[in-house]
Amino acid sequence: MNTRKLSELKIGDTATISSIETAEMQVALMNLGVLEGDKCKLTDIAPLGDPIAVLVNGTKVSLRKKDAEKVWVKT
Amino acid sequence: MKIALVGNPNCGKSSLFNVLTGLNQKVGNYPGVTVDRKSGEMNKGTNYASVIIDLPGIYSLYPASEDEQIACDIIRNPKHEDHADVWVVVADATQLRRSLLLCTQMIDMQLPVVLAVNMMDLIENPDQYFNFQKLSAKLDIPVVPISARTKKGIDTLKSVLSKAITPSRTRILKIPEGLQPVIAQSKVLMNTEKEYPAYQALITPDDFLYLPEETREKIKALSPLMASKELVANEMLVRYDRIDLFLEDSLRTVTTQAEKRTLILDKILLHPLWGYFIFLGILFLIFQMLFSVAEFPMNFIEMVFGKAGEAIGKILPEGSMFSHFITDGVLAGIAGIVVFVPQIAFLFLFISVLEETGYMSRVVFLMDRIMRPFGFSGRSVIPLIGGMACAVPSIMMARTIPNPKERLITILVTPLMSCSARLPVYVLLTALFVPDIKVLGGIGNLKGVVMLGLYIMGFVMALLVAFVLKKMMKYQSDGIFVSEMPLYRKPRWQNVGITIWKKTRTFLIETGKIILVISVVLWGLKSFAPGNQFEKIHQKYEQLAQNPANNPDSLEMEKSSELLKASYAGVIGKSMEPLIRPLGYDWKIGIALLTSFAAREVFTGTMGMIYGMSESVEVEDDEQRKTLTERISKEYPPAVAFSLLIFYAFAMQCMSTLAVTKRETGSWSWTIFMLVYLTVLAYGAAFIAYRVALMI
Repeated sequence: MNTRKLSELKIGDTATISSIETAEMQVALMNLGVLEGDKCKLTDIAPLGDPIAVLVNGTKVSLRKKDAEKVWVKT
Repeated sequence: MKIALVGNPNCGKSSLFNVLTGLNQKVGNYPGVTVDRKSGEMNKGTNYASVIIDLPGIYSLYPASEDEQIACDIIRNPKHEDHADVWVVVADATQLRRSLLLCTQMIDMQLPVVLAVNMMDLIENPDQYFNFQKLSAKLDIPVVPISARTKKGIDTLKSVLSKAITPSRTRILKIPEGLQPVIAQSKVLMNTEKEYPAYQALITPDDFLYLPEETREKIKALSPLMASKELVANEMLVRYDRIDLFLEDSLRTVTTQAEKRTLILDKILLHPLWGYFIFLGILFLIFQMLFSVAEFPMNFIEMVFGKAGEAIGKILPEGSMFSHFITDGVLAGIAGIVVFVPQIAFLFLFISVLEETGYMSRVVFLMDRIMRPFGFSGRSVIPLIGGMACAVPSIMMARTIPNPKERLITILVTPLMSCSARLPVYVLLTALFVPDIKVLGGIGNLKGVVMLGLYIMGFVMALLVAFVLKKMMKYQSDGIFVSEMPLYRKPRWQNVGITIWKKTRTFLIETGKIILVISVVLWGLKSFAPGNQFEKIHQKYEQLAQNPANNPDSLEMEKSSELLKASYAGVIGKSMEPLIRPLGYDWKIGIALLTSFAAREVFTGTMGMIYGMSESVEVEDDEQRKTLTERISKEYPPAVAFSLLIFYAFAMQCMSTLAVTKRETGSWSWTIFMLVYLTVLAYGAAFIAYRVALMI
């Protein structure tokens, strides 16, 4: 088990969301059905490395890099 | 009866709204904000006639944007005029778990709720996945599986809605006993019997905008520590725990063909290289459509109005002030509005197809990082490119930008993009000072290079101004940018058609009013003169006409030239002279500037009229253009033409753009700000251009 930031994943990597740093970020992600403990897969990275897109529970979520840094995942 | 549709964005809520109401829709604005208010009638003319209100999409009752705030206000405020008798929560069958977050909140609000599970057509063998009867029993509300696309289940939904709906007796969120005293006080302040809204107000008092500020402050003071995002996050966690229990024998999320297709398509459409190629291709197509294809219907509209003017002119008493007013004032004003319809329709055709298919959120994904430093959204690309054809529909388009700051910046700089109406002016003026020299080994022409330079200059200026505006407007934090990229799907043409129809109608009615008033005013300035100046000119030319040596046609033209000079427009043009002298302009150009405030393409016509040519100078007509070019170049040095060109590239000379800006920003101050900054910019740039050109 390796813990790192969501922003550090590479395309195709799968991981489990272990913690989300701020309550604000938790709410923003839970609105889209993304919770701690859910599995995610990094599907796309925009040119210049920002934003990124992850697939969680069948929803594609795009996040700016600075926001993805608040999400910790286990691989 | 009033029925409101609530649901997540992309859950097919608008499709359901269209299916239920057909074309019996009304679109307006919520007061003070640029959020569409969509309402319509169902079962019109029957005993079951009801009003359907399509609320802006929300994920939960804790709003994160202006649209969501409006929807939440309506749900929370029992006195709001759109507060409904029955609430249909529209859920996405493939995302049932997430959709139920909002549904459980609506249940706790103690409102009469019906759950419509949409997109059932995407799921094969639904019985295998869902047990709606059980879900309905657990939630204590009617649950109806539907498909807005195939219209399956719509009749069942309608029949459920025709019966009385009572609020659910279940409570999903259990509020701790210890909080009851505070909740009780909050209830009193809010004048409600309901526990959950009173709790919401305690944890997010600032979102309760419908309450007077005084009440909000009192609620906040009840238990200041409760106002925190942590409690919102906790509530959502509790809800998801309960939802997972509700769905224990249903599937929480379903992997569909659409999802697999989306993953493959995104590999291509979001590819660092191909993704941009395809996007550029799409932009090129939009640009072509706006620029060249829309020209045919536009010419047709101009022709029809021209003929109609002639026909009406014949019916009405010839030469009377009234017929003059109808044909040149009112009819010309209406023509100036209607002529934009093809471009608006085309732009919204493309935009709504991009939105419908889900591609628009990919545009944002591709462009976000590139556009962000300038204060734009990824979505700003489309309005900016559209601005090269026409700023009017492009500014209307900016409405799809969620962040208010980014939207405002986009609206304010879009007029800097060189629109198609500037083209005839560019053609005329470049001919005055740019020599006819072949460049690039004979492929290009220097005039073409200058023209391209003008387009680039407009674009660069738009970026610069946006950057400055971004620095100036520090009032809003950038916040979190987390958004959903919906699955790709086929556009629903009914939705596309309705969007085009609604946008065009809004433009014709709302913007049309302002345009009509301004054109009538400008007509008045051209058609009246102080004192009896006009009579004197008429008398003079009547005498001249007695002399058979004079050509009646050229007399007529000289006469209109003199009339224009004597009119109020002429007077203002002359009094403007000291002001525009530094740019190298005289009062004749002053008149042209004044009249082309209505629309910049009027410049050529006005200059033609001043020089005693017929008013309908066609730049496309080589012969006429040459004559006008010669006459102007006799009087003005090339430096003036250059300065004018720069002036026209930046100046705000389009009342339609101002009218649509007023409508979209909802503020006269921003509209006036736009007019002022563009005028100052144009004046300054033209001044520099003139001085530099004189030195060369």
